[in-house]
Amino acid sequence: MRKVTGSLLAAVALVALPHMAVAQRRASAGGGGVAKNEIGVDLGAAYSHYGSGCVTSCGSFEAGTPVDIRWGFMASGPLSFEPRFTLSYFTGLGGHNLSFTPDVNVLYRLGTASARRGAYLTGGLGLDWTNVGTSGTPSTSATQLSLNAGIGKRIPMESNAWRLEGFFKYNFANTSKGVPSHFDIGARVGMSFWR
Amino acid sequence: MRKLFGGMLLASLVVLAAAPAQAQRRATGNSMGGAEHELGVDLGAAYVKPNGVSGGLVILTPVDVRFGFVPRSGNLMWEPRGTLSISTVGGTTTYMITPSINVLYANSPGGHHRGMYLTGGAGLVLSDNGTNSGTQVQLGAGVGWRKPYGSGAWRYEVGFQWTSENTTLGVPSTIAIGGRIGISLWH
Repeated sequence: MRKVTGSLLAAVALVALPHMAVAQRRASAGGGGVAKNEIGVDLGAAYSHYGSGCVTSCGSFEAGTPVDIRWGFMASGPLSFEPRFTLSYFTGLGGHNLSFTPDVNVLYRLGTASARRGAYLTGGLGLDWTNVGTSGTPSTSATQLSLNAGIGKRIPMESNAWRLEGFFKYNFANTSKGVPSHFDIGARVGMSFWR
Repeated sequence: MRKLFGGMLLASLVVLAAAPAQAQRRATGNSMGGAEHELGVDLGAAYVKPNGVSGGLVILTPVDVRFGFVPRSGNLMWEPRGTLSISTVGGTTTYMITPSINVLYANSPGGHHRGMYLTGGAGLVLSDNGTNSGTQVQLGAGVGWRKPYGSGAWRYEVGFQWTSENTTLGVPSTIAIGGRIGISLWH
């Protein structure tokens, strides 16, 4: 029950935070043609290490693109919120496999940085929710909570910007579902567009 | 080795095909402002039917990265799309790389920023499952619409895609019928 409540709280936070960001932006924005969202895609690479009793091949390296969809909400203050997510659902051969990874990060601009250039710190909370089912057996779900932190920089390129970010992510174990804890250390490089 | 060269050749074609589009834009463009690229991400849904196996539904986001080269004039636009996934665990490396290039034909007054377009494309699926590696060819066609949304646009596309089989990988040919919906932003 505690885990269900924890997951629900996290999900509510993931949904509520972007709305708070929108409200903050509306309250602070002028009537001009100010960008509302920062949208981007990245190429990412990370070293992962599995814990929770892992004894062999506990490390792995992964790289790929697109990493996820990040949809940031612009704010006039130094803090802004950025939901990120992926979704994949496959069904066939009498079974299915669903994976949904919502995440929300807070970005804090450093020094003289603006929303379009300069360095920032970021931290966030995410979920990795999976549901797998095979023919003739009930489906099983598992949720893994994660926390991440990183430092990044936006480098303007004409009307958009390159964005570089180094990060550390810790994924908590879900022992009742047999999901081990693991951490990721990596970087993501991508492009940000504003609308 | 032949597959590797075949893959390299097609990958080169993907790169080369995008270059004339950029040259065309430079040749016809002036110093005034105007978008050069259209970047977008989508959510895709499709019915996928492998040959000899019952089909199923696939829903996925982000589908790929699409990076279009917007011409200053003309109805044709080149749009490379791709995904990359590499994983190394315990000394075994697996990967999947899917470069492709689409041509978008827009005959509407909105050009390449709004309205309907037709598209067709070709691509490769370069993969290694840790034991075997191989290449598959993809061909696709579709029709789409762009609907302005602020300085960007929503983009809807429905289409058909065929992927060749690869006996080395043990993968049958597949057809997919579906659509993708996403957002496009320009710079």
